[in-house]
Parts: sequence; C-alpha cells; structure tokens
Amino acid sequence: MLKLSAVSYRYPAAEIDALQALTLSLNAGDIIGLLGPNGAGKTTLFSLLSGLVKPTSGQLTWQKTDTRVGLVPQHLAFYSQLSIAENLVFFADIYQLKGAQRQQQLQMVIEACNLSDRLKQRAATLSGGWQRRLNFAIGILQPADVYLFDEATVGVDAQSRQQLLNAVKQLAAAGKTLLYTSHYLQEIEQIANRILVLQQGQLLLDAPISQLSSDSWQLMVQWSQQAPLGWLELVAKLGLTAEPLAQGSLISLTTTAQWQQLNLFITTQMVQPKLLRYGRPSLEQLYLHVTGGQL
Amino acid sequence: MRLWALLSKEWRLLCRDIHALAVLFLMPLTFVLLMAFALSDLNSGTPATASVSLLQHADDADSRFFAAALAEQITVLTTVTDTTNNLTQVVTDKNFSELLNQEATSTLPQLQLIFPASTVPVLRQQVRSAVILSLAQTRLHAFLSANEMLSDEQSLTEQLAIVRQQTDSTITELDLGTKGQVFGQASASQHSVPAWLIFGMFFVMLPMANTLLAEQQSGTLLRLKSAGLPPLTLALGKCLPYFMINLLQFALLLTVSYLLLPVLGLAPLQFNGSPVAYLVLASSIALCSSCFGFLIASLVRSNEQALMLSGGCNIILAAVGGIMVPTVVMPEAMQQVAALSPMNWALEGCLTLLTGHGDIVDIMPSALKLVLFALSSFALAYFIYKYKMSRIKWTAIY
Repeated sequence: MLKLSAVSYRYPAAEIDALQALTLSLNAGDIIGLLGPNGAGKTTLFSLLSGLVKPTSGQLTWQKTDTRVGLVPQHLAFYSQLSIAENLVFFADIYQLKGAQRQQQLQMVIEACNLSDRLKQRAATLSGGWQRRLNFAIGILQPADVYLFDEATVGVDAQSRQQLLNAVKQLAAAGKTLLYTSHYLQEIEQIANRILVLQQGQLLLDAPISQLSSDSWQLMVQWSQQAPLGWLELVAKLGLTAEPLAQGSLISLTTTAQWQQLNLFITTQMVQPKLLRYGRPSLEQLYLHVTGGQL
Repeated sequence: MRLWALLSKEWRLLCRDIHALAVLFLMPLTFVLLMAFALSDLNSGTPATASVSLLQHADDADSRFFAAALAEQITVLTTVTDTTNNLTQVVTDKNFSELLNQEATSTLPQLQLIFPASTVPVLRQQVRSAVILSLAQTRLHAFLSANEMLSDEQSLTEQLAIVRQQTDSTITELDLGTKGQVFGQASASQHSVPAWLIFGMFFVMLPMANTLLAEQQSGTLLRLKSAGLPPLTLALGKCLPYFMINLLQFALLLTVSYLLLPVLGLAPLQFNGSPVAYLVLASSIALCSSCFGFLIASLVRSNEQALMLSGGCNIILAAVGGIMVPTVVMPEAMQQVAALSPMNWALEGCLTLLTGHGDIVDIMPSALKLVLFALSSFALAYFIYKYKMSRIKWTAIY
C-alpha cells in the first residue's frame, strides 16, 4: 500500500533530521502500534503520511494514487458551537459523502462511538470524554484506506475506550491500514498486529507483535551471593546467554524445556535465589528495553 | 456542496456568537442612532442657540437699539450672575455711537467679543453673525433717524420693525444634485446614518479573524486540508458569508434608521437615487469590507492581535476617511489622505445617492475603487492564507 524508501525530513531551521532515512512498508490490514519517546518522530511520520509535509529526501510511494487518509488527531478538531449532529453532517459534506454511503457512514460512526443519546447537544457543552468520542467519530467518518490515530482515546473512560477500540477493530476487519499511537500500551497490545518503535528519527524496531510475544519469555534471576556451581555451565549447555543486569542476570528462553531444566536446577539448590521472575514481558517492558528506558 | 457546507457552517457559528452579533448589528445601530441625535441640528441652520451677556458702557439711543436688535438674533442675558464667566460677553465702549460711524479702516474696535475658551466654532460664528447684523441695523437706524425717517414718537420696537424691513432677507438654501439639479437641503440624518453604517460594516474584521483563528488553533483546518479542500474554497467559504452579512447589515440598518428616526423625533432618512445603485454600492462596500477583513484575519496569530488590529484599522480608516470628522473641515493635505481610505470611497458613494440623488453612473467611481481594493486585499490575503496552510503541522499551527 505504501512504501517509504530512505525517507528523511528536516523541519525548516532545524539542525537535525526529525526522521532519518526511514525505510518501511505499510500493507493493507496492518494495524500498527507506533511507539517512541517524545521527539522520536511519530508526529513527523503522521504529517508525512497525511500529506501535510513532503520528505526532504527519500521516496514515499503510494501503491494507489488516490489513497485516502483519515485522521483522528490528538486535539479536538471540530466546531464547539455546533451540535454533534451538525458537526457530523458538516464533515460528511466536506468528505463528499452522498446518498446511501452517507447514511451508512453516519449511522456507523454514531453507533461505533455511541453518540446517539446526545446528537443535538452542542459540542462545547459535552464532557471531555464525549468530545473525544466526537473527535474520533469525525475521523472515522471519512471513508479512507489508511487511518491515523494520534492518542485518540486520551481522557476517555475505560468503557468508552473499549467501545472506540472496537470501532478500530472493525476498521481493521474491513482491511484498512491503521497507525495508532497511544500512551496506553495495553491498548496497542490489544489491537496492533505490528509494532514500530521510533527513536530520534530512526526505526529501532519493526516486528509483528506475535513474534515479539512468542520469542520473549524471560527469566530474571538474582542470587544473594555468587551463582551456585553448575549454573553458568547449565546456561551455556542449553545454548542460552545470561545478560548481566545490575543485580543478577536476564536469560531469554525459547522453549519450555529450557525453562524446565533451569527450574529443576534452581529448586534443588540449598540456597534459593533472592529474586526469581519468569514470564513474558509486557509491551511496555519490551518498549522500555528497546528504547533504553526512555519514555 | 462543500462551499455550501462551509457557508452554512459559518452562518450557524455566527448566529450562535452573541458577541459577534452585538458587534455587527447592535453596535452600529447604536452608533447610527446616537450620532443622528448628536448631529441632528447640524444642517438645520439652528444649532444650539447661543446666549450672550451684553455689557454696555453707554446708555444712548444707539446702544439701546443695538441691545434690542441683538436680542432679536440671539438670547441676551442682561443680569450678571455667577454663570457670566461661562457666557460669551459682548462689550460695547462708552463711545459706542461715535465708534459706530467710524471708517472701516479704523483700528479702534466698535465692540469686543469675549468667548469662553471652550466655545466651538459654530457658536462663535453664530454670535459673530448676530453682532455684525445688529451693528449694521444700528447704523441704518442712526441714518434713518438723522434723515427724519424715524420719529422719536415711535417706540423702539416699531423702529426696529422698520429697520428690519430694510435688512431682513428671505433666503432658500438648496443642495446641488449630481446632475446639476437642485433639491431641498439634506437633513443631518442623510449625512450621519451612512457614515456610521459603513463604520459598522467594516467591523466584520473581528469575527472573521476570530473564527479563522479558532479553526487554526483547534486543528479543524488540518482536517479540512487533509480532506482535500482547496485553499480557494476555504477562502471563499470565509469571505462569502461575511459578504452576505454585510449586505444584511446595509439593508437592516438603513431600514431600521428609516423607520426609527422619525419616531425618535429626528429628521427622517430619505432614500434618494436609484435602487439599483444602492444594490451595486452595497455589494461593493460589502465586498471591500469582507475581503479586507479576510486580509486582517489572515495576518493575525492570536485573538489579542485580532482585537488590536481589526479595531485599530477600523478606527484609523474611519478617522481618516471622514466618518468621524467630515472631510470638508479637514485641511487640504488631510483631505488628500482621506481620499485613500476605502471608508471615504464608501461614504462618498452613499452621499452621492442619499444627498446628491445620484444614479448608478454617479456611484461607479466609488464602487470601482472599492472593488479594486477588495480584489487586491483578497489576493494578498489568499497568498498569506495559502502560505499559512502550507505550514500547518500535525499538532501545532505555525
């Protein structure tokens, strides 16, 4: 659907590139969780994809020339003195929706964002959560091939958030390409099938979330004194490497058998470890690990 | 469809903005009515009557006649009170009779006029005219008495009546129309109403700037841009609603003035000239103010700037353009500067119709200047707006 080849972008008067030689491709059906600390280049990437700015160098190639991009920006981009219905109708006109498609889209967003109770209420008088829903609804009202969600659920209560995430899933099920940024990493974990991590304008990680999950069982162990005899030899014998941490080591496991052997060794020791943690790291842990702890 | 959506959205937003409605309709109406009241005597020939205190240092026949003649013209207070200091004083010499008949080249004053410093020119002129006429009548009285054409048996009132028969004139003041035709003198309303109507029409700058800023700051403009709306459609979507609002202001304020001024006891507004000319003129003024408003709106970056720039421009254009002070009382250099103000062109056009009974040909110079100014403003504003749109970022507006 879209291919970025060594795309860089530098803001006017800036000294370094906000995006540095970014190469990646977006495919139909991708639900991409876009992660990165502040200043990583997420906003710049969204600006490039939405056509607000053009690459300083490199190529951004859409497979179809008429690919449409829908936006759900972080700020509340609607007319606060118009009602929910008036805002939706206005943007339906702007998106040039007509006839049955217009009715269908309007109905879809009203249901997906659960807006039917307050259609006549002016946006300015809505609570923050409702305003966020309206903002979301206007974004997905536009029939598009790619949707960009920028912190779309900030300030929305848990129930409403789940409803909005369901709407995102519906779009994904319809084969749309979605890019989603959020500070709620559980949200991304829940909906994304691919994770991109940006840092200082560079792509640190681009992997399917399934791969990140299945490969990431980890054992963190910390002995009160020295590691018992035979521990390091066992780790080496199993073909594993122990990554040293401040007070222990972190061992990435790939099979359950490896865990069973290490577990057997530990349980037969006279001195038990001070710390023993085994599990699959959350996306948040992975993210912190990849970015070196930067938020 | 998109342009219509933008227009109807703008109308809805404006109808719900009570402050903007007050600025666009209530404020100009208040100005029109207040200024119609304030200037109601300007063209009637009887501005607030002057009062003077007469201090005479002689008690001869000429002095007595002068006092009677002057009292026929203006209010003469002979009782000296504490308020004397606030009155114009007419002081005659003890040799009033001798000085009365001296040659005009003499340097000795026949009398003195002492005005309070704050006296406005129109009142000074009124007193001056009354005194000159009374002096002339007193001289005539002296001449007629000397030639025994007045007798001592006649009372002062009778003598004054005979003198007035010789000096009074009947003068009709008429206005010259644009085609050389003459009409009765235009009332003050014909002058003041269009001036303040134009002032009000140019106030569209403020709500225009505010709505444009709100769109930029909320990120709505980002949405509109990403939906593929061309900048020209967006610009027209901003200018056309205010063009229509200007037309509505023009029609509404003239209608309300027409209906309300006579009820308030003021000179009625008369719609002289061709109706088509009114439409053309109103359209050109509306085009000018909405495009100039778009220029100001595209320049500002905050609501504070919008308030300062739109208010400031409006007041300067009005002050220079003859809205606040008629250009006829300005020095020539200032009149040339006034001729550069679009408000002056608009006012000239309105006066051509309301007081000059003109037609569409007569208002064309004003209308053309307004339209050219509108097109130049729009072109410049569009260039700036397009540049600003090109710099819209995802999360902030440049």
